[in-house]
Amino acid sequence: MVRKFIVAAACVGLLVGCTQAVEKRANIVKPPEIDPCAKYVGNDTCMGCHEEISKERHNVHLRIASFEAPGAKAIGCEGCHGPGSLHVDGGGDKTKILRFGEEGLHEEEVAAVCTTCHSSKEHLNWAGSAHAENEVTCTTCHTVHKNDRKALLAKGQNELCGTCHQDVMAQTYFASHHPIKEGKMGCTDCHNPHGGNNFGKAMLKTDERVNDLCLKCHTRYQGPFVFEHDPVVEDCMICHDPHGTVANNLLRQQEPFLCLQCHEAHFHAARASNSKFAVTAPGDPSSTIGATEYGFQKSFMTKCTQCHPYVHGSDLPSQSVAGQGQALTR
Amino acid sequence: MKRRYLTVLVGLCLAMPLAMQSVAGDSSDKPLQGEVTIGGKWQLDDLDRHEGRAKGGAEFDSTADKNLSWDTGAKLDYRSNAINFDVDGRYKDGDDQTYGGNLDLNRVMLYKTNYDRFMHRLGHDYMDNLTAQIFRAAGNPGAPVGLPFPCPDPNNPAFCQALPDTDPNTAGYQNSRSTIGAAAVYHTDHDPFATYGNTHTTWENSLTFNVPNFPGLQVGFDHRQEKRKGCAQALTTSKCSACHIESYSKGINEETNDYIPRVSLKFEALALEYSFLHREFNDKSQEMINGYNALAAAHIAPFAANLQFPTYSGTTLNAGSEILPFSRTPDSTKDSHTLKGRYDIDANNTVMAGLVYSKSTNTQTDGAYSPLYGEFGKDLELDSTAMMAKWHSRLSHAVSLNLFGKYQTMNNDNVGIDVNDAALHNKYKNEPADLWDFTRFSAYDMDILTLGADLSWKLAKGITLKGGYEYKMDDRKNADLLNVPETTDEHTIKLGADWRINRQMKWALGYKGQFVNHPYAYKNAVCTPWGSFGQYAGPASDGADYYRSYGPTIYDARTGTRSNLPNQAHEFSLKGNFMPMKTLSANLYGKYRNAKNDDVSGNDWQQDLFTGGLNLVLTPSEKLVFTAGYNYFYDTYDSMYCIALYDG
Repeated sequence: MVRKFIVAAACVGLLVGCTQAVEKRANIVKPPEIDPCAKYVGNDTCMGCHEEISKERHNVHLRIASFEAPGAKAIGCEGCHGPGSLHVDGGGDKTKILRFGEEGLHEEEVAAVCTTCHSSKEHLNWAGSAHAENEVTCTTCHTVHKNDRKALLAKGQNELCGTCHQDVMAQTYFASHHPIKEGKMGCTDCHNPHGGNNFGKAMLKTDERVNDLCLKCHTRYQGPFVFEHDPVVEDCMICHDPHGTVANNLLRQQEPFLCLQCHEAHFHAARASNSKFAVTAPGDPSSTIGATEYGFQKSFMTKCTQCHPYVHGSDLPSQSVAGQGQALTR
Repeated sequence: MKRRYLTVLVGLCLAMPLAMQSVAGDSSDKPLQGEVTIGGKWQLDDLDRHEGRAKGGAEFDSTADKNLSWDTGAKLDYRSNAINFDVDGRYKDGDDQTYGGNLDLNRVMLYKTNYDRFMHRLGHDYMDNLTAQIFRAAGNPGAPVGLPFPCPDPNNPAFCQALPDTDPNTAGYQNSRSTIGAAAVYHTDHDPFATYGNTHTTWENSLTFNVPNFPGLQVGFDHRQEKRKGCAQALTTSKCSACHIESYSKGINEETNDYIPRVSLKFEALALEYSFLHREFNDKSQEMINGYNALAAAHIAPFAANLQFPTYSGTTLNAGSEILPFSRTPDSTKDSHTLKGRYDIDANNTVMAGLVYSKSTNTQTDGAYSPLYGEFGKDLELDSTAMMAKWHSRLSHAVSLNLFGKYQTMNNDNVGIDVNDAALHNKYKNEPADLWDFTRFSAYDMDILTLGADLSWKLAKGITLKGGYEYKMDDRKNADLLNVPETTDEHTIKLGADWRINRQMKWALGYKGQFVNHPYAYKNAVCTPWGSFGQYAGPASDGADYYRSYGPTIYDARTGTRSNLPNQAHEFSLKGNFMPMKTLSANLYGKYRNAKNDDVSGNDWQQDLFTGGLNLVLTPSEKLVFTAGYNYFYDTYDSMYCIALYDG
């Protein structure tokens, strides 16, 4: 019954939506226009009233050259705010100029203005991106005026992203985390908030797979290796949660439980015991294994990576012969 | 490891404007301006100075060992018509520094640089937990009688004599099939008091030229260098016959350089970009070696001090040259060509497309020491080609549609593995020397196809409905050999609704469902069939290569499939944002995920996750932020614990 309702609702929704296709939205990709009679008056005229803007040392928009904005009709103030003659003639009539505040342009129109210039590199895939489709526009994250932060961000990056992605931000405070709260990494090291490079999930900053993103910093695991661990090749996320975990090394679960979801416990790693005597390693008297009455329970403290430390791959065949050298112990 | 700080922040945050031409009056129009910030921290470490175990809160804090540390920063910028530059820096500690800079020459040449260094403390695994593996088997079924078992207190023989039923050194006990320690794991830490950590250093440079005579054309060059230096724990394990873990301290010295020339062109509705990445990874770390038979010969008699693979110096076996390298990270390179484009068809339609070809190369598989006898003298190469496209359309004033697709194919070289037991094969007259050699087929040999559509419908003012569907197919070429599913089909459905009640309040509801046919799993991973224990009398163990016996009777006999990925998952989320005033915001969120895999053998795999929280942010001024929050995270998994009951 529920499924039928969902299918019916989806069909009705699609039908209603498509019937509105007759009325094409104008100037969404291209920026909106003011009255066609408006003319460009130049920066000096603007600065006559808005002198404080000229003192914004960190606002690069006041310095860009015409060859950087080939699609724009003007640079400087009017490059974003549109031709200002009617605004000037109206004694500063705010309705005669493009505005980006709460009473100003709609989110999509804001983006349309900005993408006139910001349409390549990291902004190439803005159209239809997850942020664009969720009413997150350029001015949601960037404040162009009276702002001396890098990239003209409205807040610190973590605080900014955490406004909406609270669950992820909470994870970055787990015991095992990337150095995000320490300020040594930011969300944009892995994510492109202007549109994922490969159109896939999570707006990732990679043109290939998520593994290639991880390998940018963790290059020592790039290989390719002679002896592979199949899930490492498949997807780093099978074992790791990069946003933060309780388990060490950003593992989704503690060892050995993570490993034991796919693997069988070895006989020597999970053996009941009630021995009252310590065992001394032959040839190595300094190494002893103490007696315990809780052998099986303590086997849950086994770390698979103590014997198999090279789980990300290795070129060196293991001497643990059972497994034809593939045990990743060297 | 519990660690507690009593931290006192020294309130020295002095921002000193350094207007170079005048310190009086309005300095905002001076060409050169600067700022210096000084802060500090005084802390009492009152509990534990054993930093080797101190991860957690201090994992990335290089000053955790210091009671007093300073944090200094500076900014400087210069503005003129033709030349503009910014530099900034922050110095906290030798292992915690950040610097950045921008140079703008008349907007024709733009240069940006960032340098950052931080410390990453690494844990020292003392392997105390290995006591878990001691056992005293009842003897049947069991391995042959184990080691001579010393009385734990030789100065007090009465202690052992008082326990005649348990003292394995007594003849009576040994005759009653005592089996002790044959399969226990020993460990030796060669540097038990070492403290481990690395310093990460990243230096990024980006140089861009705009061509004034060709508006829209940019030529650039990016460089990224990352270094990792320090000391880490390096473990290795002998062959199972000794079950001996050895721990060493290893000097780490790794360097990665990415060189990226690029060119981009914007021409009316068209944007094109091409970039080439050349990455070099070099590992100059300490070259680790280990003697792998130190304990093997002293262990149980059947396990001879044999090595299965060539020794460091060549192919000698059983000649006391059992020193082998371990913990070696191969140097590697990656070359990648990326071509991307975007075309705005009209005001409502945009297409984007990309093509990426890359080759990753392990440059050390042709080195002097190599197990790759089948591929000797040849680098190991991975090729990847990915192509992707997306069409974005505004179907109407209220509806937008995205269609996207991506196809990627990868191919990795096969590797011939020479299981070098030549010295032993004579014991098995009917076995050829290469009986156990095999070809390693790679998991990288796979194709991935992704297709999807997203629809967004603005139902009414402030209300948006969203829906999406994505299909992903993984086709693994060597699935049968690697015991993984050949084809995985994944269907993902996303539904969402946003309700912006007013400018102060917004709610969002979401649902994501995943339905997967043959999710990624390890086939034949666990559980030999019931009663297969009786088949243990396989080929005789030779003490060096007991894959002869374990392979066919244990490992290859497993029949169960396990996985930690679902074939069905449902995720519900709720988010609320409330901003009653500009200086105060509150947000509330909750997410529940239920995932299950009933395609596995035995018990189903299940995940239940709930996370939720409430956060408040008060920003009375630009430089002052108060935050308070409560977050709850609950994540539990049900899986089957499989243990083979057999004896080594």
